[in-house]
Amino acid sequence: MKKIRDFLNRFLKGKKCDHGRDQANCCSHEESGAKQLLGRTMGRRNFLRGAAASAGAGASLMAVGPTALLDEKTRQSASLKWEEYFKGNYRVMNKKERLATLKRLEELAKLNRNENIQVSGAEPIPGVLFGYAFNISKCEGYMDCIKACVEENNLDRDSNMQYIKVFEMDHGKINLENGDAAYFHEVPQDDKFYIGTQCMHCENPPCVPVCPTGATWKEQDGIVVVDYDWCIGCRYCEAACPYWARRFNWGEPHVPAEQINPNQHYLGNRKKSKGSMEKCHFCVQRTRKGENPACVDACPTGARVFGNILDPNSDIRYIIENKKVFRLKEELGTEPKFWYYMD
Amino acid sequence: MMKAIHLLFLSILMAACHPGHHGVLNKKIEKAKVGTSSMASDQISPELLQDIQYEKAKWKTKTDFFVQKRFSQFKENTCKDCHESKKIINQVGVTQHSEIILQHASQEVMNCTTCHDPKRVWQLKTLNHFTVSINHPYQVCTQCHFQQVEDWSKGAHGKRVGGWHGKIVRNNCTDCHNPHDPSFKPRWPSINPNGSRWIK
Amino acid sequence: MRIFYRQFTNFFFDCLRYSLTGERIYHLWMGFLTFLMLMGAGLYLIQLDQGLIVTGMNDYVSWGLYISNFTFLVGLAAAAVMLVLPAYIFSDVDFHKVVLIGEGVAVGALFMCLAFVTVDMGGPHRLWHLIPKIGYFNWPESMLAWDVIVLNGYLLLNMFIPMYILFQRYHGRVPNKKFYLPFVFLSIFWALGIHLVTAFLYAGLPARPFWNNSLLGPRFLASAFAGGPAFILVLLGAVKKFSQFKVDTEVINKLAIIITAAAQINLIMLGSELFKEFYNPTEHSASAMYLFFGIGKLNALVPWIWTSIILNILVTVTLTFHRFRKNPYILYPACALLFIAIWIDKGMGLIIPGFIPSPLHEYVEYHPTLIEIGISIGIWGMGLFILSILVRLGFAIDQGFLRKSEDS
Repeated sequence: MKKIRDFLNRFLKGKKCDHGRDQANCCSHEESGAKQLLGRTMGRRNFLRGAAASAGAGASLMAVGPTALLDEKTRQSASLKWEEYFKGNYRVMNKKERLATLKRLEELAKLNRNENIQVSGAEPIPGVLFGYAFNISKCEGYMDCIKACVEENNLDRDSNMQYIKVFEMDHGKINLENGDAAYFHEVPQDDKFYIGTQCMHCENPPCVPVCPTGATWKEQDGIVVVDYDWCIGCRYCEAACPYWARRFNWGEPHVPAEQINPNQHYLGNRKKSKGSMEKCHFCVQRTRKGENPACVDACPTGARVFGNILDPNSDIRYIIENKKVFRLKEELGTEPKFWYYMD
Repeated sequence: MMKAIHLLFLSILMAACHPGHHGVLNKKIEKAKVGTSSMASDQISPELLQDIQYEKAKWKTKTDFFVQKRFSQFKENTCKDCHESKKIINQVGVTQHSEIILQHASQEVMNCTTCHDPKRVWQLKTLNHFTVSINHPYQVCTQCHFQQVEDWSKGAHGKRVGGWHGKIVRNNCTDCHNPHDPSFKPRWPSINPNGSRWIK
Repeated sequence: MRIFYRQFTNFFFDCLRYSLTGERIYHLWMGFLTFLMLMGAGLYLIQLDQGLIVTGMNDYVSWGLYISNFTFLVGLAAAAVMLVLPAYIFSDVDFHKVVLIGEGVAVGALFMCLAFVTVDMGGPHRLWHLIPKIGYFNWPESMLAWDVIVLNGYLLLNMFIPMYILFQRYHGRVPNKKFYLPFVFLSIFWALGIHLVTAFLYAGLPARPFWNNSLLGPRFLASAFAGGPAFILVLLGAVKKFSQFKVDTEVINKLAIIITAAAQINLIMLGSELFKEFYNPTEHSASAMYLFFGIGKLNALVPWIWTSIILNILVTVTLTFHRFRKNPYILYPACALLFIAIWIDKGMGLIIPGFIPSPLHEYVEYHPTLIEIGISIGIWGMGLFILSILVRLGFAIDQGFLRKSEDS
């Protein structure tokens, strides 16, 4: 079966294996496959881009008027936008193309929104597979994690988008059916306990294979990411996620300029556009620098633990190996890298 | 001919299906056991622990870890100024420290000198009168809360500071818990969880 | 090649001319549909500008009216096979006369399908990402990629076959069976394909227990083979009544039998689905509970689904009796009602409860907005517009009203 799949993949995409699902087993082939693919697709795309750029320049001129009236800023921004429009899928871009788009995003932010941001393209650290543990006997439901996440990740303030949910649960049942994530009252309540959910960064993420454009995939360090600019907004992944982890930009997302977090990552907390999907990315802009995700640092009760599950000396490994842990909906075979434990 | 077409369709369909991949995670962890203990990367920012003062923990574990210094948060002399010459008075609020209301355990179990050294208040002591530095309060806490301190030393309780990578520096017990009133207090959530896109 | 090109342009312009002329009632009907389309287009501009925020969808119910209609229309498109199969394979003479209608319906339905999917996209300007090689087409993993292939493929097939036949007839030639029969065979398999693939789109999601059952595909087929021919039957009735074209009664009788059989099978499957959900309800029955009985105050779908079920049973029982089925005064309304019943059942009765409750067991309801409804009506208008033109052309050429003029 695997052979047939590989063959089909090679035949169709010119790559030897599925980046989304099987990275660890096939990274040796990856480069050659990607190169082949790039060689072919980029050539055509460049052609397309050239054609479009000229057409776009024409269109923008027509829209605004004579060249003389076009100020430098508008023209620059328009040309950057056209280049952005015709860029490829981040997953198959080469280093040069990646750097170019990072630079364009920074310039566009400066030109259009007067924001001084840094967009990183930091890659996964070899030998690292991120995991997360959540202590349900410690969580008191303060939602400091949610607040920190919203601020760190430049989430849309208009719709009050949040990646994390905290359920208030009745004692005696662990089924989320009995939970309420919409509570807004003094916590902790005596007869309740609290359990947080967010993207579980499954090892077999059901949201990844369903994407028709390959705009979402699992990175080498286990983080399931979205290329916000490649997503066409069909929301199939949102339907496929058993943990309700994905969020869609129904309108144009909006963050007040003074609240923008300028330390951004292409696959992380950068500005999204309307009509694209986003989700928790374990604060990729922080964690690939060695920091903890914002929710972990914000938790006042220490209910959240983050680390490298390949490192036998890490806290997270201690918890997985020595505590009684469980994962949500394990029966679906998704292998979430998000464990719950109790004292 | 028909059969061949059928077979072709079937094989394409099968290719679209996921092969069984239960236990992938375990396999990855197994594989990594050989030789992955810590990895260096130029991406890791070296400044993460720069602003934190820490000391090696006096605790036996497989892996060494560090604790935040308490004396980096307040001065030893703050205590010494008053208490150097005087003995501690074993009743809070009589003359000084009216802000401290001891809500830790019942009067029969605890008073100030259960943890504070009556001769040198800037230090702690165990029940058997061994001196403990204020930088290492877990040595006092563990006398009752041994399970918590055990968990804490391994990373299953409390918080780690300065990221997930490199030296393990943990918050001290007293960084999160007020030792005089250690429980977390009820309060309102810091954000409203209800989005504007739906009505429940 | 040059000759072919000239012939083809002649054919095309003749068809165009024919479509632009007609009786008063035809013009009124087309004018009405044009109005619907323009309204839909105007509303879609608002949606393009502000995003899908103008719809009633949200992160809980992330597919709504658009995808419901899409799902139903796939069924309508696939129903053409119920005419094609007897016509070409069993060489049933009666069906030969209406098979072009079936294909016209398929084309109209497919255009609506594609339009519904497109308006449902958050970034329609990025749809070029789907083009293989230039973009990144995630095939064979993504069922949606499969759907893109089967829908477009089916559209091409259903445009090509009737066009070839009509083109030949227009020139007074007999279509070459050896040439077009392979395509007909292919289109039959393809019709099953579009339906099953669309069913698998939902059935392949373990996150949504309401969809994740093996009966979904077969039930899709059964309901499509009831609802689609019901639509065609009503259409034939309308043609018979309002136009100069002739429709054989025998065709209508045979279609009615097909509809009845499919509706009966559909009912059996509905029964077994209900049994599974309610005999021993687990937490996976929550969606069905919501759909059929409502949860607390949330019961938006309850009246709809019961309407659908009652109509379904009523119509199926009625059509089972020969006496009623033979009576046109009962047959046509029954088919219209069956069509509505299946539209409710396959559309909102299938898609929306899949999202309620959410995978984390939260209950949030969905109510489409006026803009969303307006766009949907506009797309239906477009589909009926295309359908009207195609059906009219089909009849006209097939029955000799439109032929190559000798002088041209």
